[in-house]
Amino acid sequence: MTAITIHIQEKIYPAPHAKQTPHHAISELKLHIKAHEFVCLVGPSGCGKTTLLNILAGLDASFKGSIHTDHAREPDIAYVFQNPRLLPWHTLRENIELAAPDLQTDVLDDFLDIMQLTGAQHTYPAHLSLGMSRRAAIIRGFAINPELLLMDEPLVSLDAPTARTVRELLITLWQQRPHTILFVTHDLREAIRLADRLVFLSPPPMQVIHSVPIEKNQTQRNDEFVDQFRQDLLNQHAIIRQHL
Amino acid sequence: MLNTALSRLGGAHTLALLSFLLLLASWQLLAMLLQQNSLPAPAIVVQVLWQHIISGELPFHLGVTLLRLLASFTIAMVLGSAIGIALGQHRILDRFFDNWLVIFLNIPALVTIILCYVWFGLVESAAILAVVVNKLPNVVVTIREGTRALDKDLLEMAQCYKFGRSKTFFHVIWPQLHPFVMAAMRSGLALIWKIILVVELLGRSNGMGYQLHIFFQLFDVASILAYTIAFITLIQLIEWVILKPLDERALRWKR
Repeated sequence: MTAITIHIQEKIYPAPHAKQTPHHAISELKLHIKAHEFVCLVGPSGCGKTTLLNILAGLDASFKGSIHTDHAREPDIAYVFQNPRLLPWHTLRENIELAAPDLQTDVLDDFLDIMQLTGAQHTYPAHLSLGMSRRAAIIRGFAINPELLLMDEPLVSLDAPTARTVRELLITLWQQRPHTILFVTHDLREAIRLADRLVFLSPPPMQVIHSVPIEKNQTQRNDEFVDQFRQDLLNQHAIIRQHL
Repeated sequence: MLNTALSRLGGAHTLALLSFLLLLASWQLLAMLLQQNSLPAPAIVVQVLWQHIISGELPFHLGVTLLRLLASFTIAMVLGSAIGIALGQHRILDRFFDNWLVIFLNIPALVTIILCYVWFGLVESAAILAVVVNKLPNVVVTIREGTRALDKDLLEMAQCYKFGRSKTFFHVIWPQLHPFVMAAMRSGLALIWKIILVVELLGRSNGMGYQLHIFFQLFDVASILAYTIAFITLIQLIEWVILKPLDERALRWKR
């Protein structure tokens, strides 16, 4: 069980030309995530959410700050990208096995079963629908059993019913195999359905402007609850209303 | 009308066979009209071909050429791929060596061959080197293009999921380079077998090029054509038996 503390002091993109000013993407962003907590980062498009995830995933090393767990080392991290990023020359199952070579066969079978992909496991990504590829990418993230699982809008550009299915399957998977998740989205409704805690981000330079826990169990949140919660949130917090 | 008639004949294979027969027939017709030694009829050429085969002469020289082809082709592909990947990945390296590449691409094949023989003598290694130097720049350029086109998203994914060097190479990079490698192999084979004959003609005492040189001096057109047929057949066999299956195996994931 590991909690994770993130403190990004500064992330600056240097100016591409001498005359332009550098882009100040993140400044003094502090975030503490409890073990097995599902945190949704909500912020306007272009506020630097993907920048943050790339930093956390270790893909971008040019920043000032630190990410550490309670045992004071960097956490194992998995990343579910916005595009599934499956290797097209490997089947769905091979894609997961390649990323998670230590995963036991029956555990993988179980993952595929939960995400309803058992029938498609030997299919190449070109023959999968976007929804299926996204589910496969989600399994790949869980499969390496990370201390922190990053998700970058994995439900975006799915049609509403498909997004709903994938979201429900994600909740099922997470409840059966609890993980610490940092889920980025610009869709407040989606965030309210999924999260233990909502974290609102400001436009750049990005920082945390508000943090709201949601007590109710994910499986019991229906449309009315989501709408009501959203309305209350917007009524109470002018700053959130402003930025979304 | 014609289309339906042809498709009733059984599709691509029949069509290919028909066109081949037509080629043969026009050759026969031309030979009959000309009645000259400079264009022997197909039947005569086949007869000569058979004689060369049973005398063991043709298999020997063809074998020698094939060995040279194999050696120079392998060296050029391996070395060219390595250099191409390096140039594709490192921009400074690429900028630095770009004009070298342009120069090597534009040196006429004959010049390289002559220089190799002058500098290193009329020896086997000089012959192989001459072919490699001719082929290498093409491989480098093709593989460099392939490396530049590598999908950054997939590389990031591999980094994130800690694939490590060899897994990243074999499962992420190599499959993306495959079409470029195949293109380099195909164009390479075509280029090399044309150059290799000149190399043999100028400085070796065996191989197809050497034999053709002798037939040329004797004005023995039938033998020249017989050797040509043997060569074309062999190259086509390589395409069917080695390259095509390689293609199909590697591209089975495509739609």
